[in-house]
Amino acid sequence: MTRIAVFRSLAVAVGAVSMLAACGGGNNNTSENLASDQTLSFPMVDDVGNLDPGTMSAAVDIDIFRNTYSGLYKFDDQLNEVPDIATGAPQISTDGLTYTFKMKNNVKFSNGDPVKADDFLFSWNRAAAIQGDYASVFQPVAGYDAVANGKATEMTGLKKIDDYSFSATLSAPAAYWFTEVALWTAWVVDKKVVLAAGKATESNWASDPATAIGTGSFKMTARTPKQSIDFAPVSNWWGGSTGAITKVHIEIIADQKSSLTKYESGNFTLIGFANQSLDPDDVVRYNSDPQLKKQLQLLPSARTTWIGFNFCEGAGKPSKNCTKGNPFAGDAGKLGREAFSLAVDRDQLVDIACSKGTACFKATGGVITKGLKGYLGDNTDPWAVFDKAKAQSLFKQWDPDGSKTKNLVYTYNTSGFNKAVCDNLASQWQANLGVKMQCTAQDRASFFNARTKCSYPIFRHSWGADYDHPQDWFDFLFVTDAGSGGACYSNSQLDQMAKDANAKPLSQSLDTYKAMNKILVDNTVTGNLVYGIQQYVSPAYVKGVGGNALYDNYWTDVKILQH
Amino acid sequence: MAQAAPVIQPDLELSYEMPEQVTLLSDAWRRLKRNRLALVGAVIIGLLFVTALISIVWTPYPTWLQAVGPTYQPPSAAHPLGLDQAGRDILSRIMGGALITVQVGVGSAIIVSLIGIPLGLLAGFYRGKVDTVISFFINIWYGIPDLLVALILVFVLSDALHLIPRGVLVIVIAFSLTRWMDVARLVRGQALALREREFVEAARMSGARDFALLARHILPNALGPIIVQATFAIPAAVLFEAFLSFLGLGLPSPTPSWGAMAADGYHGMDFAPHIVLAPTIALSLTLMAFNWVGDGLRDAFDPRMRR
Amino acid sequence: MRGTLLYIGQRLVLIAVTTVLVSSIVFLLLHQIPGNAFLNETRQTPQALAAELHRYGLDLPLQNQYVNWVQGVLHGNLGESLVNRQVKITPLLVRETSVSATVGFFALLVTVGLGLILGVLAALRQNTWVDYLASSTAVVGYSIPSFVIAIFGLLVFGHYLYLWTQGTFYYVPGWGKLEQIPVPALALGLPYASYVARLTRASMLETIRTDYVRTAWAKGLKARVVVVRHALRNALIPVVTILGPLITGIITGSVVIENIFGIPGLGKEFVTSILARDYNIVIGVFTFYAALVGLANLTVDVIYPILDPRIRY
Repeated sequence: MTRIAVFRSLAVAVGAVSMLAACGGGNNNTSENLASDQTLSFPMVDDVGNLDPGTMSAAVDIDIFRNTYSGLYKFDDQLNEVPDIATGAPQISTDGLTYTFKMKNNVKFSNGDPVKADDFLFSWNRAAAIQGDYASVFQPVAGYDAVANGKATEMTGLKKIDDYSFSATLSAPAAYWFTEVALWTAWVVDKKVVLAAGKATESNWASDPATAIGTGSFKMTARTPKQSIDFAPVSNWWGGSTGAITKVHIEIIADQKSSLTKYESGNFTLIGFANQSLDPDDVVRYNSDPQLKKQLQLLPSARTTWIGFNFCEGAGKPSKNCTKGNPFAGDAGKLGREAFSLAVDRDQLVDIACSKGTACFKATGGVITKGLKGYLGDNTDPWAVFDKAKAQSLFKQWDPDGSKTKNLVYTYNTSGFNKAVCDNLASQWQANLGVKMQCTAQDRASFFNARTKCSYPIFRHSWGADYDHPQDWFDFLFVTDAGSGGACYSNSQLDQMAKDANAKPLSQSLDTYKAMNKILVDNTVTGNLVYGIQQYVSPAYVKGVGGNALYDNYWTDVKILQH
Repeated sequence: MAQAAPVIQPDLELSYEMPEQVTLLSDAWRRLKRNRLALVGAVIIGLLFVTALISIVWTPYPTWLQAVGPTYQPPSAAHPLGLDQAGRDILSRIMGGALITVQVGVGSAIIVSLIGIPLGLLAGFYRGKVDTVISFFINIWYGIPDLLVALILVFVLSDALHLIPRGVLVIVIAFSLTRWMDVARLVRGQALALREREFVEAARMSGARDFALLARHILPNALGPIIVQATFAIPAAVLFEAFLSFLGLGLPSPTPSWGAMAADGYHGMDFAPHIVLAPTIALSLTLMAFNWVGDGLRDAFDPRMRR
Repeated sequence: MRGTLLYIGQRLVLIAVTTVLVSSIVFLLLHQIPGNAFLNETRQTPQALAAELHRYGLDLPLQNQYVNWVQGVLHGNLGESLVNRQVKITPLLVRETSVSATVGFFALLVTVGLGLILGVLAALRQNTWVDYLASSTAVVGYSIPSFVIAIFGLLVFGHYLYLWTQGTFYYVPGWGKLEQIPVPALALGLPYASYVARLTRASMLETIRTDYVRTAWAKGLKARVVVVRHALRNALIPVVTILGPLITGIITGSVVIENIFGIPGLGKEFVTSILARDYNIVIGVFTFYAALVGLANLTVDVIYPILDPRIRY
């Protein structure tokens, strides 16, 4: 839209509040006057997927429901783990196996039910039994396997001590487990309500506003599937003030352009909450207009995207998933991996595929995203630079007759961003290396299905951190037979280092993790491309929206000033 | 989306008073030449084919090459149609798209005819059970949104069963599998009418086999309407491809499909309308040209339609 | 009358059979696809995946899944979404059908209304500028795909005329306001309207030349009455015969139009679900489409004899 009229009215608005920081975020000035309507409204392209903490796994769902549920611990704005329902850090036995949790005794569900140790034991056992994507949070707890297999309903490691304290015993030391307890799978649900609605493992209660009961500051008040969801603050919330917002209204609008039009006509308070992105062309428009740019907030998000190389050298080698050899595998493929990584001008990639750098930025410090623990530092990855001459000479050595890259297909899961990245990579590789590569889009399901079996020689890979702990990257991506690896990478040295590091507290293991990250870089295991950016668009009078690398701000932080 | 192939042409099923082929074709040609709209269409189609042929050997820039200049650059002397959101030369991509369009259109017309003609001949010539079965299929297919079935077919054939890689071929096949009925129905009607005619009867008396009857007497006399029907299959197929690619379910990126280019461009049309205008205009002109020529051919072959 | 009812009854049974048949084909085709909607790029373990499949009965052999599905369909239950948990498909699609039907109805109005007006005008003023204008509009219109018309509509109303319209026709917050309907309905209906115009013009010309119209004319009735009573009625017949295919075309067209305008209808759902691999919804949408097309054709066939008394069942 050439929204001249909008520009003009915004120019007035922006002029009036130009002294305020454009990116909102937290500078709470008590003298500001609040608007009479404190409705936070924003769009989402698709409805929430999972409403039950036991099965939740998508960032969209978690960003929303962390306002309605809570657990013993949570991550603060700096991603530090802090007590929520717990009174403090757990007591950990000297052998590192038993954790004793003490709970606040004033905690209530939104329906008034008090939260007791029983509810936690019920919630955790239930989550292990349901086997949602993140049930493995409880894997270290003794008795998990029996519950996961359906042979038991309660993990033997969980013990109630009294109404407000309980203990968890692990089957082996796992220093990172304390971090995992702050994840959504460990949120508490109301035993009474869940059992009244059906079996413990059923989820129907969670999608009905009447029974979706949690301990968060907000509660769901209405929901029309694939159309809208509404929330309201919990009155007399146990945690104290629920902030200024009196209503949250989410609308499902699949078309990003329609959403933005609606925002521009003043019907949304913001776009970007719940992991939503803007239409690439619109971001470019906002970013290139000095007035509109003031409404745009670009915050780093904990996601890295890289070129995945297949490390299979033959059937069953080096991983049991391997079926055949691949040109990029092992030491023989190292030159090829280096050439392909060096042949990418990441500035051009960011300009074109990341909407002039508004959707992501160059990855120059290893696979762990900048801002997270384990990041190697800017410009530490020697293969993440553009060097056409070197790339060409390496390529010549590796594939002199072009046979290794004949009919090369790069596969990605369907998305606008992945398509843009692949098109640009194909263009650059053909221009810089003379390799004709085809981009193939697969729907998400087929893609992950085939990638898990290491079927693609070269493919899109990406990982969004679950929490700020390097273990999250190695255990699921790079140790031998890692579930989400897709590359069948195997390195016994790395496996051993991961095992050692995982057993120690992060303060003692961070250097090991960094050394592991360095090993990945040195071997060009991943062709690191870009780190993510979360975009938010909101008028200057909406304060406190935004987030950190992993989560949006809580709705309690948001307020709408007079405008 | 199916509108480009006129859904029903009741007039086509009537018999034609043209026993001799030479007269039929020359007469038709004479009449076609007088139809100005059809001539304009023919010129546009000629341009399309020439562009498609040139694009095989030469385009100003490679169709896949990004960042040949600033992204979203409006038309300039160096890039007459401007650059798209990835900095690709739009003129080159329009040229490449012409080739895709020709492949999809002509390919579909051929395959639709290859499926439809034998089935229609069988049903019309032998009647009885064969006809019942084929006609039943035709009627069932008319009752469903065929393009959506074709869409699912593309998905299943290429992504699920990996029978045919995603490309022009799978689109042509999916389209033909769901759209052969128009031709089959038409040929059936022609065969039904022609088999009773004197010259067919005479040939049968003189001992001609069924195959010879079909190939030498019935098919040639039904040729006119078949050509018309096949011509109308071209814009329908082109539209189907554009429709799929516009929804992001069609040809793989960065194939310069006009539908995909329109989809790429329409989000940015607030500040760079040239990206969406070029492919949509090219597509509309092409469809129009084929429809005009199709109309012209129909009028030429069927004098009754001239008014 | 009884004959008509019997005919309608038979057709309804046939529609039900066709619907189940068509959606069965889609069901079987989609179940050939490897992978499923549950796979994702998180720390999903094989056990977790198996548990999800089990929850939706997707770990059963195909024939059992099929039997379960057919039983569900016969009870009007199309199952649950695989992507948005606990979302029942039948009520969802019923709601979306009403949205699509609203747009579709107005599109049909554009098609038939505009088509008839253009066609009649062109025929009555044959070989005048009215005829040339109407005919050339039609000749251009029926070749432009609806999504191109939609894009131009957006460009004009949302871009060039934005100051004047303030986005009124382009997007009004919340679906269901009347102002939102014209542009998508026009985009959807215009190509077919051109087709109807051509058809109407041809049959009008034919009718006007027949003896009985000439007689009526000679009797001195006002020209308008002649047109309405005799010619228009006859001209409507070919239009009615193509209504069935027209409706199929509008349904197909709505798939892309709803995506462009962000209309929360069946077409939008269809594409979203295909991309998200939500088979259950894709099959459900097809079931609805097959039934809709069948019912539309039946309606046409019932209206037909009213217009053309020569036809009897």
